Amino acid sequence: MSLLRPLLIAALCWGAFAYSGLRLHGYDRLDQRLEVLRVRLPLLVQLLYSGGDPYLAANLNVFRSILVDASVTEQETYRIQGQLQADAASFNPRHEDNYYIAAAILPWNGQVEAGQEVLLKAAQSRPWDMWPAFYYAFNAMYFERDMTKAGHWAEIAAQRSPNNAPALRSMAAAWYERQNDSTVALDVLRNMHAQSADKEFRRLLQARIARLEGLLALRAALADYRQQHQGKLPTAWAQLIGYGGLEVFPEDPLGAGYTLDASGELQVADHIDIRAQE
Amino acid sequence: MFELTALGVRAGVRGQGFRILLLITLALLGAALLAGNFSGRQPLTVTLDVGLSGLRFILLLMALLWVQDLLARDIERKTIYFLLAYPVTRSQFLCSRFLAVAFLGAGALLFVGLALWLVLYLFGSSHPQLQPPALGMPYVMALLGIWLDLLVVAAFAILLASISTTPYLPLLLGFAFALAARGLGPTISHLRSARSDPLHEALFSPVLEHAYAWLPDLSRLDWRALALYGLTPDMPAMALATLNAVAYIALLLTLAAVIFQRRSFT
Repeated sequence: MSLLRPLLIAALCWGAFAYSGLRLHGYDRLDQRLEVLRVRLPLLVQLLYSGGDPYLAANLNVFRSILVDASVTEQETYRIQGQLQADAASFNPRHEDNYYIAAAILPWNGQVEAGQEVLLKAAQSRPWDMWPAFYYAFNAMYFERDMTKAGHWAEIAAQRSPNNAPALRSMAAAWYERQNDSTVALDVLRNMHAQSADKEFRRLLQARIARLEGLLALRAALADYRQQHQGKLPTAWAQLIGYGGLEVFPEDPLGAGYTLDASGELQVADHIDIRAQE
Repeated sequence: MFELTALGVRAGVRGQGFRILLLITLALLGAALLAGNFSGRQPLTVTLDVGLSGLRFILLLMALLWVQDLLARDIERKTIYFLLAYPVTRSQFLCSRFLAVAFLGAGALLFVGLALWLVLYLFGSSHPQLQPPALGMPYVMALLGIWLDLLVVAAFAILLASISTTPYLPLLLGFAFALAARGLGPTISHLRSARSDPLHEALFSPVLEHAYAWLPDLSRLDWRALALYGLTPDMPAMALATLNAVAYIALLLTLAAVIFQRRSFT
């Protein structure tokens, strides 16, 4: 009798335990959506839970970023991922996976600033590696539209990789040329031309200089024409000859030609930002 | 005194320490190999990185446990009476305990370091890396840095053991000290960086900027970047960091000897 009662209680408890466990299968767990990121603790707290070890803290952040599923499209997750990766870059700027994921994911999902921070730190601390410098330059060109920065870092990438140097240098030249202030761009190109020993590259630079000079001459002629014709545009480009000291219509040595952009400014045809017009 | 050191080493080896170390080492190596799988571009570097992080942490705990085992517990159990009956001075006794912990630490470090090296060599990923980790001399330098780091913490724990009446104070405060000293460098550089909160900087910078006078910056002894990324060592900085650590160890041991000399065991 005295044993029966506790056993009965135990059996009842077990019944309640097993039944509730079985019923729980039907409910979602609170942390069901593990693939999204929500938490980013302050940097110094991250350092503390890594035992004061910045390398470990960097690795933990990178692992968390890697685990984000490619199918996640949520902005908040990318914002947190950007912060985690920027933190990882301050703990260990040389981490290769960190800058690689940052280049591949962050700017394309709206986190340009965080991505560029990670890439800049990697580019500065990995002098043997051309890629962070190159990605940084590309993002500066494509996302930030800062052509001077893009050209500068493309040149640094070229110095780090002799094999890819010609391609990178011509990219740098192309990006310098697309700068908003064409006179500054012209100066930069002339300097590069004067300092370059590579024959093929000098030829390419010469062509880019000629096309910018043509653009500047055409802009001057157009401004003169519009001043004399109450702001009207010419019906044919040939009408510009004689205005602003223009004697012959300049040819674009690279073949793209010149055209007006949406704001009525003359541009080289292949410089017009298609995305801006969409 | 050397007999006493050898005795301490033997006591440490016979204790639970090395068996625990063996188990933890296996777990660490497994974890490091798995961590390497997270890396797409540099699996070997990440394996080494996580392995060194774990090694640094485990050996910190081991060093503190050894100080507790060899000194603090002697004081608690009063077995120190017998030890002090030997024809050695108290400061010699303290010094021999520190040396014993240093030798034990070096042995453990060689053991785990060699195991990690073998795992990397035998089972490490063969993925071609842009910059493979340097597993020769730089790796030895990284281990040496970790050893110096351990000695600083052990000296601090010995100072605490010479004061405290409970064996857990050196363990707990030694751990807190190691956390603070290892995190000091990264904390200062974070506060100086553009991303830090200006309020935090205003609050903590004045204290931390002068911390060099009383707290060693153990992150200066973390030379693993040499092995991870094959950097060229900055010899003057490393020599200064070594001097900094050795001077601090000597300071702590001197203080400990002075306190221990005057302590009455009742």
